Amino acid sequence: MVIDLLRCVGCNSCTVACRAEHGTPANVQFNKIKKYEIGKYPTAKMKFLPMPCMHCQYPPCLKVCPAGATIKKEDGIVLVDENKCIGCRACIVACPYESRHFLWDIKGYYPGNLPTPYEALKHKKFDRGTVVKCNFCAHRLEKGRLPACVETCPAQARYFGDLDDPESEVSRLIALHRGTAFRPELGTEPSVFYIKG
Amino acid sequence: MNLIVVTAAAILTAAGLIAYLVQLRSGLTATGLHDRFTWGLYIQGFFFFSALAAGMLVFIALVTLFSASRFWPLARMSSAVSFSCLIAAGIMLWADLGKPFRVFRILFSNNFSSPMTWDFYTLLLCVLLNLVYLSGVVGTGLRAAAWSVICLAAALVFIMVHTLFFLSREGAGFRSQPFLALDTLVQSLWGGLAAVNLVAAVSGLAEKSLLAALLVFTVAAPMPLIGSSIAAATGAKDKTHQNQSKKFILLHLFILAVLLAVVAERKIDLAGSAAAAVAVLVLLAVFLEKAHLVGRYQHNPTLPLPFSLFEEAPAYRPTYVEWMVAVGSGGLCLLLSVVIIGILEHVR
Repeated sequence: MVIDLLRCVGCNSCTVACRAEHGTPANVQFNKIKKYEIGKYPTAKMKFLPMPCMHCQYPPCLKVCPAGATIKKEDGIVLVDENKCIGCRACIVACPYESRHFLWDIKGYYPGNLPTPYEALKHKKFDRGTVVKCNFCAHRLEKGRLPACVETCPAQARYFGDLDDPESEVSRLIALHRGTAFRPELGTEPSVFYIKG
Repeated sequence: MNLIVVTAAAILTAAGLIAYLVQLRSGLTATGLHDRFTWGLYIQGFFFFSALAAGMLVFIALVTLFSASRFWPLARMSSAVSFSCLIAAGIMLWADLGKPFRVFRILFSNNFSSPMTWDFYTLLLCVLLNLVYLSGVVGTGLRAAAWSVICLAAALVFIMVHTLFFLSREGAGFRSQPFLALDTLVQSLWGGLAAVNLVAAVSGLAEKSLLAALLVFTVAAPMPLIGSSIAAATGAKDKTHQNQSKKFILLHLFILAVLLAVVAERKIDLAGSAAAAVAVLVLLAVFLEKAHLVGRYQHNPTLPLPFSLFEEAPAYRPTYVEWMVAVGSGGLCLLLSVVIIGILEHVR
């Protein structure tokens, strides 16, 4: 995935689309936007950093999982098998990108925490006491569709494709705009790149 | 006396069990944990009990390896306490899991890049080694030497694995430095020796030599902290960490002063009861160190500045359920220790 930081306006559409797609319980956001500030008054600027799971080439979460619940598919997508997860949260401690969430409880967003009918349907796939994370909408990719956050972004700041293919749009964008990963010094080799197109 | 201790320990264990059943029903929301502070009192307790158990195992292994027959009765009792500590540690780990009934998946996943896998295997190995020792089949000679070497290796691996848990974390101040492994090792040996001294004092086997050994480790214990404090002062950007290490160093120095006064006491009977008090003080210091170790790594936001600019330092307050489970684990540890020592004496 490639995210154009110049195009991102921090509207949180990706966050909402992700939540709608996965029906995540309250307080669980697979896709978040970090807001931060640079500079000092009067030249201070608000910046936005969209952060899905980085689907690292060398995921620390995979290394520390004692139950083999974290898997990396051949296409590079890092997934959690909720049927194997023992809920030790070692992956949450290890992830340097805050991309993982523990399902402390499965609650809705609305008053009384009662789920809406849609939420109730989606919540069925979540198992309390396990860890969940962004899966690049693997179920949509199987159908040839783009991840919900990419499809929804009104600023078209997100691009999705095959990083192994040098001719793909994402590879060309990274090469053209000198795309960088977030915290590359950690050696995790994320599959999410940021550009300033 | 034993009946009172057993009754009190049984009550604490029952209270812990009830609290755990509450947690089992409501999930880990019964704890004060959250995504930013994901390991709390349970993991602190796990590290604490593990450290004591492994430290005691080192003592038992050395006594067996060097055929120090004078300490054999104490080693057998220490083995009972070490075994009980391991059970308590296992319970703390179990209580921390979101899906505790899947814990044995660790045995079959074979992910040896995970510190927790090593932890699980070494914990089981230490339990097994204690059981072998308690069964009396170790004996003397080559078999005893082989058991001791395996035991020593297992205990030391068990201790050192705990330094790997937070390897990926940054910004942990004076804990994020090369002294961490040495600190973990010394704290474990210090705590283990304090527990041995406590067992000796309670069972009337107190000796000046044991106190002297505790004194040596009391001198050694603050060394990694002093080293790490210097490392933090010279390398860390956040200077607030230095004050935290100072608190620990002061606590260690206080214990050292008390211990020196106890060792200077000529009457061993008085020294015995005073040694028990010092041992409890050392155990408290080790628990505080473990609590700080776990807390410190989670205190700072995961993301560096400026990305974590608007994030507050995560607060964590253990709930009554967590305290009850922790106290219950301690109660079970005490109960098992008394019962196993009673059985050993009966068998003898």
